Amino acid sequence: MRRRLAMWTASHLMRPLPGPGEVHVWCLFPEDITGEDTALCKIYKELLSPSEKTDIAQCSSNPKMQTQKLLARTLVRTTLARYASGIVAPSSLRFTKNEFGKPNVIWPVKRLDDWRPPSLCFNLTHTQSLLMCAVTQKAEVGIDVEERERKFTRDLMALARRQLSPEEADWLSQFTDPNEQRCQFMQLWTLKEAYVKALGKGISKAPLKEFTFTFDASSPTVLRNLKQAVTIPISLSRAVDNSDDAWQFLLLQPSASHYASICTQILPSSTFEQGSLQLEGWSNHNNLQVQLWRTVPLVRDEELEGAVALALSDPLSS
Amino acid sequence: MASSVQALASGSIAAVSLASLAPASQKLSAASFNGLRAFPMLKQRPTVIRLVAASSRRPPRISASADAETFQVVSAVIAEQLAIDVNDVRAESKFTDLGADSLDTVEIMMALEEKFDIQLDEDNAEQIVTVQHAADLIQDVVTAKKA
Repeated sequence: MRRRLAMWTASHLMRPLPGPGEVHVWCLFPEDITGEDTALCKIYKELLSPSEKTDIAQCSSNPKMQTQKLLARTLVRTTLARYASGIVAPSSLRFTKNEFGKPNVIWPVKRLDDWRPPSLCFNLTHTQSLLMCAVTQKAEVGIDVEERERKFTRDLMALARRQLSPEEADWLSQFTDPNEQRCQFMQLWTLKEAYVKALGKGISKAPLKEFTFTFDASSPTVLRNLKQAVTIPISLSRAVDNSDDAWQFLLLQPSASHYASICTQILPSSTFEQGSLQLEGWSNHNNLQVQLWRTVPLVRDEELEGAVALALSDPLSS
Repeated sequence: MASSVQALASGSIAAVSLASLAPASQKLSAASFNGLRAFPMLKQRPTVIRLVAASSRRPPRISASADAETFQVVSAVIAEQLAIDVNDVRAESKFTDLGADSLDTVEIMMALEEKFDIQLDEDNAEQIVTVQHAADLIQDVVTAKKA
């Protein structure tokens, strides 16, 4: 345990908290963990709780599925522990679920001198080839990832009519190239899923057919240089959650073969006025800032190369 | 129940800025978006949508327990959709543990509707966690249809 804690106090594994309007996204590509790394997987297993270990052993006879679950739990635990200034080990975190199944973290240490557990919101998503964990401070967040080349077994427009809003399905039906239509569907799907996950109330409270994303075609597309992305504004017809919450969306390609969407709550600026959370010079909370890393937990982190932003919503603040 | 017209900004561009975060002690380097793949230009005008918020509905309880034949058909449909061996599909298997994502679940529902000539609504779909749940639901709906 001491050795594990020592690993976690290594400075490169500690991160400052996400600031206002900021989302940190940690991406795990299973291909980065090769077959020879069974030793690494054994270490990961030791990070898990007894019930998580049991769940993995029982969930499936398929080793691939077991590894997926192992990596998912590892990613969540190691990601959250990064923000605890070395005070908390990944294995000591506990998780509960709200009545709709949305996970929440319980910190084992409630205070240590001046340190208090951060108010982190997080969400996990995964496909076979990519796992992503999004983290914010205080702002609800949802994330969804899909493989671009995902094979559909049903007719795409039938799926669209069933799952998308009528307006979105109409919009989709106007694409004549099947490949392009499929890509547009996937993008819309990740946006809708990210929103529902951010709301955290399950599908029945936010039926997919009852909200609509539109892409604003009247804005030109422009290619920009490094570090600046210009995107097509997207907007969401009024939210289904009956609250005054405002949400911001980012649609991106974390890699050439994936689409992902991130949805996060836009918090009033008063949320961050107190104490040490206010970063100097940070004035515009409505400017969504996303940072992405490619990680092999406990081994290395690096910038995620090659991510492409596709669309961003204007903040819905009135 | 709030409904509002969302005015779409015309000609406005929203920027994602990926500044490096530089708090006092540690500099974070950010992954940067290397420019933008051009979004396909759409030919039609964007539509503005008025929305009615969802009303809360209580999902119906699943009451029946599936017979063996129903179970086998359901398992076969699931196995085919997920491209797995049908022997790996057990009654207590969770869809997610079989490798199904949210889209797979929808496609499975559609395939089951077609196979059994029934309609499933989204409230039912949300209740389904395991293969047994799916089979029981199908049995429920099929029985109700015959009645």
